[in-house]
Amino acid sequence: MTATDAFAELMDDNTVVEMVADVFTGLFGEGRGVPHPDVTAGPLPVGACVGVTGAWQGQIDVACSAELAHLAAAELFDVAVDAVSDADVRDVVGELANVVGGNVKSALPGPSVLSLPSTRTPASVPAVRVESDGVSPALVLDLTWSGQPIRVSIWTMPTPPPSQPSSKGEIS
Amino acid sequence: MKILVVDDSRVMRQIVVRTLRQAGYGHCDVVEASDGRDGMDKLREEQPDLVLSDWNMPEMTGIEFLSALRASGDARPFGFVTSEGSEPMRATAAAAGASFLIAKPFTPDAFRDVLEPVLG
Repeated sequence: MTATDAFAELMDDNTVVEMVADVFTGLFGEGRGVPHPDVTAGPLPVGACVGVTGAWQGQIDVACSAELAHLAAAELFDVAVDAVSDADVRDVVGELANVVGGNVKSALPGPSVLSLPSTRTPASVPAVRVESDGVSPALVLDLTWSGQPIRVSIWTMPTPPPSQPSSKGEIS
Repeated sequence: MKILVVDDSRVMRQIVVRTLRQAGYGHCDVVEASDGRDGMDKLREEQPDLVLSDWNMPEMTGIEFLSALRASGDARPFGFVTSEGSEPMRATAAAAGASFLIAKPFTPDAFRDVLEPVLG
């Protein structure tokens, strides 16, 4: 069984849609609606990625339009959209990936360690996502929130044999 | 009453402070720190009554922060506000001496439920 097949037995699209909806509702309330599945969007220039190492290994990436990132930052920092800085955007999309990633991780086998988010915006150096032979996209969800696209991608990586330590041994 | 809020995300610190206010703790003084090491410094300077800390942070993680506190004999209430609320996480937090763990995303009710027994 591949890592992707194994992941499909642990988590389906609906579970992740509900997680993302809960995260957005918790952070933004329901005033701008709840994220829901939509047609595939084009390239999304803003995003953040967290990695998980341990009993389950992979990466959770949250990408969105620049408009959504600025809108989200404006809402959470309680400022006008045109007052949002690149640092504000990186902070907010990083935290979105951290919270979505943490929720995904908590539903998967442990123990494992969650990395700090790596963010990318049009104004910053892109995050490096590991895409080697051993990595495959297990799930890609295209959603819409407040009329703007957001994409959650989950990548699985083969779990190393037990004899190979994969982390510092701490639970995050 | 003084609360130390420790999180490497500026926006999450703001959300935690706002939620404290919505939960009825707007009268408390709030001090912020950006990671566990900064939290140690602010704790010495400000002597808060409660620490609310993220887990996953650069420099010094939340669990390292808590462990250092308890190793120094500091027993003040310490709770985690973190993105994962699995049972292993909760068990690790409790074993290290945490009073509670709030998983993100959270509500004012979730804050009230765990803060009431600690702060009254």
